[in-house]
Amino acid sequence: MKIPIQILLSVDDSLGQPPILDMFKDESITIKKMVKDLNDPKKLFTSLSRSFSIPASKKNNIIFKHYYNIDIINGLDSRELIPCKILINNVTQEVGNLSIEGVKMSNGKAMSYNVRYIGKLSELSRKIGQDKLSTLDFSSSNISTFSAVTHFSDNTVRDLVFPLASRSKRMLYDLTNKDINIEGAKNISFRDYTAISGDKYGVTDQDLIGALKVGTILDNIASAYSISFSGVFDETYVRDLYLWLHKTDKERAGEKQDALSTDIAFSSGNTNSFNSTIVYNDYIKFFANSYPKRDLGVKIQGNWTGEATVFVKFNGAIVRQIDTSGSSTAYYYMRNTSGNLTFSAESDSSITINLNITVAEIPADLSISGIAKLYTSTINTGNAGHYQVVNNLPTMKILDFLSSLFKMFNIVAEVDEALNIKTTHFDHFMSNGVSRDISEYVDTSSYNVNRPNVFSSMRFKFADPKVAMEIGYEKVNGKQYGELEYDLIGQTGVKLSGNEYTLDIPNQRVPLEPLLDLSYVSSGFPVVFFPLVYSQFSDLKGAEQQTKPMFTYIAKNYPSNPLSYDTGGTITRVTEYITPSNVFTDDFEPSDIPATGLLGLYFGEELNEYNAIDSTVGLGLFNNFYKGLTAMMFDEDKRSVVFKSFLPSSLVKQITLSDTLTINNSFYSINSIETNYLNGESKLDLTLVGMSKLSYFTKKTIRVTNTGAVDLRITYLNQSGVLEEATILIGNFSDIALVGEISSFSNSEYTLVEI
Amino acid sequence: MPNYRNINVRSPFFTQKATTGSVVNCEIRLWKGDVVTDLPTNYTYLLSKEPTAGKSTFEVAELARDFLSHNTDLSSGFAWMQIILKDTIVADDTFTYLVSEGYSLSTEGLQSSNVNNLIPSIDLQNDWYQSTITTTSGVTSPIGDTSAYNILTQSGGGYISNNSIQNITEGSDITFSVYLKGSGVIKLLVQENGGDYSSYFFRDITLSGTWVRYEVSGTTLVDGNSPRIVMISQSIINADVWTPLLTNSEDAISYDFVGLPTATINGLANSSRIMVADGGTNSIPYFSNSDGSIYTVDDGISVIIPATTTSTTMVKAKLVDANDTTIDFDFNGDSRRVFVDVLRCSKFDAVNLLYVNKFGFKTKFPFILKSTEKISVESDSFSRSTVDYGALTLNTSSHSSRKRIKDTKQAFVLNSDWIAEYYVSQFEELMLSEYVWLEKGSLTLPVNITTSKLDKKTHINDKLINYSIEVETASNYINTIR
Repeated sequence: MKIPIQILLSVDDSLGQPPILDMFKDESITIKKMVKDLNDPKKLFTSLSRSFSIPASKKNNIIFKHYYNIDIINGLDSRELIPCKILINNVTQEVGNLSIEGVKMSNGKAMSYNVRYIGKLSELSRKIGQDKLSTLDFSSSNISTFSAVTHFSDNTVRDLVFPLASRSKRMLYDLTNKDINIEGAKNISFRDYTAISGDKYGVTDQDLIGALKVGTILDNIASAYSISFSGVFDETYVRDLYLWLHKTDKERAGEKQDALSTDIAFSSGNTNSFNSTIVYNDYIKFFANSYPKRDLGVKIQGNWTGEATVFVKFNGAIVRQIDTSGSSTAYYYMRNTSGNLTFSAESDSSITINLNITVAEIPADLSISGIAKLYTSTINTGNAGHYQVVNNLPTMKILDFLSSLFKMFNIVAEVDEALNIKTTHFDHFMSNGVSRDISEYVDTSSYNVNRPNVFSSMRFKFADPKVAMEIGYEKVNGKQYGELEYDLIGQTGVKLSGNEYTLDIPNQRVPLEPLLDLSYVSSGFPVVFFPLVYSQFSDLKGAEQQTKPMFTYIAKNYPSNPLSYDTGGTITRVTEYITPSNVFTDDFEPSDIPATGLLGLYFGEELNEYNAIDSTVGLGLFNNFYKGLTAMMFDEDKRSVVFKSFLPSSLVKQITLSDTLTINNSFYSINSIETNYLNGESKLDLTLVGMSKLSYFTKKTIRVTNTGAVDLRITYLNQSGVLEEATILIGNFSDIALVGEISSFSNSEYTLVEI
Repeated sequence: MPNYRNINVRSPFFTQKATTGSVVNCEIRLWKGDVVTDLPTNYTYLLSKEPTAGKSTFEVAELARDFLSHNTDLSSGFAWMQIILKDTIVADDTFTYLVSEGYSLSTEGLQSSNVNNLIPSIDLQNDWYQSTITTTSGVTSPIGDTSAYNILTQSGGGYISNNSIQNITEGSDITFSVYLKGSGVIKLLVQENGGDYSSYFFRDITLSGTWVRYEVSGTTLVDGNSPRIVMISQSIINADVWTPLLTNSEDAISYDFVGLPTATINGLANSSRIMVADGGTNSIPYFSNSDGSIYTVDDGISVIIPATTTSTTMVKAKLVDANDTTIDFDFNGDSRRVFVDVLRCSKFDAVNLLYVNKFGFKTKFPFILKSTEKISVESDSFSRSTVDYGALTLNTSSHSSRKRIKDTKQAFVLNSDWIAEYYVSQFEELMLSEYVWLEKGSLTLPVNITTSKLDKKTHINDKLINYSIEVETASNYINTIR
């Protein structure tokens, strides 16, 4: 049965009727919902985008203002998007915009309009798809007065932190020998206040690498694109993840001291007022559409002592610069773009620059000379530098950033009309599905049962190793840090045929180097790990590497491990600082993972870098988020089936992709549903499964009894879909309401009973 | 009140302005309601065009057509359109039209706002010859400006004439019209300009206090001279005069007319015919600008038609039934007669098709012979399981092959009476109509005509003329509109 389709515009059609476009009676629309799209941010923002042919009726002519008639001046700009909704059976199905693509004419008369519906999400996708993280506004996270040692010595958990890291030299910790005299390494323990030349002692400004809170980045994305995140993206183990702001020293910029011109004052020249320009103390504002139309030419000349660079910036972008005192730039013309001109200087030291600014306002065609004025200004770069987030952000598209999070935490997302993005762990999403018997709507006269896309091996991995710790780890362990690889073996002991399921996350995942006191080692004492680690960004030769974007958790240090900080010939003793961590401990010192650890940033199982004897079993990403998905994919008890069905539109709306469909006494999980609203036919791409729901996707309550001699700590995905921990005292039990199974136990002495 | 022209916007309508400038702007305002008080402040469309050979031409019919919507109400489907052509060099040209969803045939030429006035100047004070008459300019015109004139004679009378008319073929049909208001009796005269000043044709008019557009038509004589137009009185007149217009008769625009095909019927020119099924009614649509026009039913009772300025009442309808035989219209001296033919059938109930005709007006075509009705169904089916897996039973009362109805239509085949040949043109208009409703008893249904061919029957070829037509309801038979 045909289901009526309407396009409702948010414009006044001047007819006093609801502005619903007239449609051809045989115009069809097909909408496909796919599970795997939910897990891919690039697909997440993909909504319906297709062309319609609609009649050139009276109403449509009014709405599209006779687009074919070029004489109409107040007509429609085809670049203009018309907000609209697609209603199916009087229910809003899609929200987006309409743009006109063309008009079919016959004998000089319009017969039909070709219009393209662009889903709101598609438009968003187009914008986000091209943007990098650096296009976001991180100005509120910038540090305008940046002192490296001060910011390193601050262990407050905040948006922008500077965890212990080294760009090149390996860091070592020797409480006895200040000069460890090892090539390519330096001692960062605090021994005394006397510096050693040659970067052998103490952390330096050059070592500092910022790390920006993922929560802050998500907030900026939400703000920039008028979207909102909810669900998993609100949880601390996502928001308190940090993105290293790492660019190699050559590419990095921004730590130089610079200052803005703030005292622009008229000096000499024509005293007439500008038509297109207003000069303020700290910038010059230019109006491109002034009347009469004028252009503006600006050049500068500067005088100073020492080394500095003076910039002319138009709308924040450098348009002219001088590096030599006494020189001047050529004119820069604004042409047809309105905006603000600013003047700034950058220097490694405190320098005063005397600036002469020539501003010439001339007719737009530059045909005759106009008003020219000379302004002066003084710029003092000062002693303090600054730290700009955007200059240190790794090159990363916003979609790749989101994709990294989605993949790491196996997140699916659903987007509503108001662009609220609800993020859910896959297991939790699947646990919300219900069973629906749709037998009466399914055409069983003819269908095929096929072999599904079965997998026989899987590989979860991060970017290829680049830094020394990764390379060393791979040589020792025969696999990459954080990687998980598994080949399925059949009952006869041979490898099964099938594809490899690969989850490739293009992030660097670096094992952290634990620092031990070398003097203990050399004296023959047992190796004792200090609860102190750092992240190294150089290869085995000590050369800084440009890594792929890299995430880390952070931890506060032990005050008992003071560090030396070389501020340029003088050593500062640093007792409070932040260290990186590959395990989320809610910012606690991660030396005792069993008591605080919740989640590790690796797929397999890894040792605790802070304390190798801790059990970290079960904290990995695979164990927490991927067991259900892989069980689904690797289960041999399934078949691929495609049915033709005639689901009522209400049911099409109700069915979610996490539901299990029952057809003629068999269970099917949904891969995709494609509904043609012209004839009401839905194509069901299903997987025939043996059980209605996998254990990993089932909500249940388990009674956990601690039978051991120490407290038992467990982690699990609670029924709200959030990773949670619980501690069960000796001899006690606790009823845990969860999705799937308990992820980790701090020891093996317990019993489980499902209640 | 000025007279408004009706234009048919299913066919193109051109408007043009000659200019020495670089561009001409065309402001179009479209509205419903009163022609003055409801005029929108802002234009609906603004068109702009560079002149070609000194003229900018715009086609505006399609823009206006969007504002017309029809239902079975006879007054629906009309709107006002104002066109203002501007070039910032000479005065703006302003036209106001009542637009209807009619059409013109290819053989009838283009519709345009251009009217070729054969009078070289309408400056009565400076360019017309005046004899014992006083002419004053700056008089308020029907459209509210001061482009009208006043002419005043004393007791001996006087006249004013334009003697510069050229380019009129001798023996051709021409029409002279002019807006007049005032007191006294004035003669509109077209006569030979020279020779013995033979009178070609004339019309005496008793002036009233309101503006009325008067028209006189006739044929010039072959006398070797051009014609001249004269407004003359033998006594005292005090008349306001606006826009005298002389056109070839084929270019003349009817500002008042009956919205039915016209022909010379029963020896009467400009006559029309209308069919009425016995026991039913039909409506004669007519377009009337002229205050004081009348129609007279064959019982001799005359009804004065009041002037109006509202889009929905500019076109009126005179209902007729089986008791009527003729209706006479008199649009300020311009006569039209409509003959009423009553169709009777003792066997079948009549079915009327109400349709929008060539002028955008609504009238009915009765079908009084056999009519049939049918419905059509389009369906498919699919197979499904009817097993109850819980009880392990087969539900034999359920359809395991399930039918789905995809489309339903109701259709009618209608047969006309044996009709006279002059009704073929009405049948043609019915076929070309985009809006048709079927009336059967108290039932009125929007329908589409599915018959796609029309044989234009004649008595010579076909002897008796009868038509069969098939229509389909304009919606599904089952209500599926949500």
